[in-house]
Amino acid sequence: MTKRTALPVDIVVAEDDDDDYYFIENSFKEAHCSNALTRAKDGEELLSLLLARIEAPGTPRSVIVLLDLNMPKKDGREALKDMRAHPVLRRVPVVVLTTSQSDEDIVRSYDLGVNCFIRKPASFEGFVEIMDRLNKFWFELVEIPPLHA
Amino acid sequence: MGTQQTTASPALTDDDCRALFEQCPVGLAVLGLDRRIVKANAAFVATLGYSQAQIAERVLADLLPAGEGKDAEALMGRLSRSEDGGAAVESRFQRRDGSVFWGALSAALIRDESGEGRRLVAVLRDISLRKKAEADLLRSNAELELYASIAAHDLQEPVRKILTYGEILGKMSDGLPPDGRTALEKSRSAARRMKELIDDLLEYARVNAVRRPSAPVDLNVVLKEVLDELSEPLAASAGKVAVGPLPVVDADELQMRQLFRNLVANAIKFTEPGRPPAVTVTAETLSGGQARVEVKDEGIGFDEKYLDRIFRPFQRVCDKNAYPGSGIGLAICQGVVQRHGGSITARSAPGKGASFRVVLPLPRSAP
Repeated sequence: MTKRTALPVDIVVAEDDDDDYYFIENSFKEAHCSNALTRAKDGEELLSLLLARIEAPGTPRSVIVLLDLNMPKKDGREALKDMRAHPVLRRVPVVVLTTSQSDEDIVRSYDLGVNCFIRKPASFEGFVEIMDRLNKFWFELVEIPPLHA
Repeated sequence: MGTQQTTASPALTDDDCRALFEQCPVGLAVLGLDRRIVKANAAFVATLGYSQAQIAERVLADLLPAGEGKDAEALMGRLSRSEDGGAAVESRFQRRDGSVFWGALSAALIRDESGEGRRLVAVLRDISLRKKAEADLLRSNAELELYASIAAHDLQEPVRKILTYGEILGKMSDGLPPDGRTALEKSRSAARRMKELIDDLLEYARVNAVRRPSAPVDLNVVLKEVLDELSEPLAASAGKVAVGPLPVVDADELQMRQLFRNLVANAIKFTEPGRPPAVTVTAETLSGGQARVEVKDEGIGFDEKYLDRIFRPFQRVCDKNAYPGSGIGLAICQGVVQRHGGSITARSAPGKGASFRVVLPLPRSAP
């Protein structure tokens, strides 16, 4: 499968929990995913990080967000709402990765425009498999828009 | 009463009746067919906070809170029109000072010799204490379920991490001495079991928390789906499940699937090793708009002295190693059935198989 564009895609992980970030980081390596990984520890940090990227000089890059729903300060739901209301951030693909099991969170997340909703697995193998599939789907198959105004 | 000719014991005199009426600690009243109070005893008057003079000529509606007590009115109406011989209702009543209490009213129609309805007798008891106890119980059960659900929910996070780190550590276990590897394996398997318990507890809490409206559910379809889900253990044990014609019930479809999946899974699971499970599911219609469904097996059974225990959460009556599980399945079944206003019971003996019978409501329009 050949992609038309070949912009580098960065991954921003919005995750307040150190253990989960450790699992994500390591399972990405295990899945042979070489994209640059950046962490935001809450919704506020995520938004300022993304906004700074839009303005950043240099070659255009794309970004996708791995979003935890339950975070301090601004939680994932609010951050998502703000992203979707922003003229540029609205186009950024968002993958929700959460422990939430509530049907309400699933419905609300899609209503707010997430691209997919994944439950955190209870095993490292599970993390590796998710990262492997995300890698194949988002970085090998689909086109992602550049992150600039 | 008056028409009884063949009394062996001496009849009550009018004085006896009068004294009994007056002394009875339960509220008694005689009403006309127009539902006006003709005579009331001291307990009746006291329960309602009236004096004898004040209660005379009152009608039932005067004793009910405004806009309430339709059941009580309907009962007395049916009685006075001779459509009913006697019945009881629970309703809120209003005292003379305006305060309200829960009362149990039972009433009967007195007929004259020609069978014509003549008067009504009413028995009224204050059941406020019982109602309060019931409400308290409901509330404390609801709180308990909430705590269980919150506890289980919060326990999910740490156990998920123990499992994940355990797995990462497991990848490096080559560097551990044999004892260390065993210890790691044991702690990982304990964590897996803890996760199962938490998942089961959450499922149990959800049965009792989620309330979806009932709709007609075809149990034939439900059983077909359940057998599909259980096809793996069925094939592995060479088991057979015979399903007779089943009714359409008034229920929550998801909970019906939960109920019968648990019952059939148990019937398959609790069998002698090496003996293929033989399960039958049959049903019959009961009077009163209900149906009884029976799930019967020829498995190991259980001693009926444990009947109370098997429906309690996390109670098990057989060896955990031979028949693993958390003991939540039948508690879930009981929760589901009770949610539907039905009942569940079981008959069994050790080695003689078990049969579980659930009573469920039929849709109202059913013949």
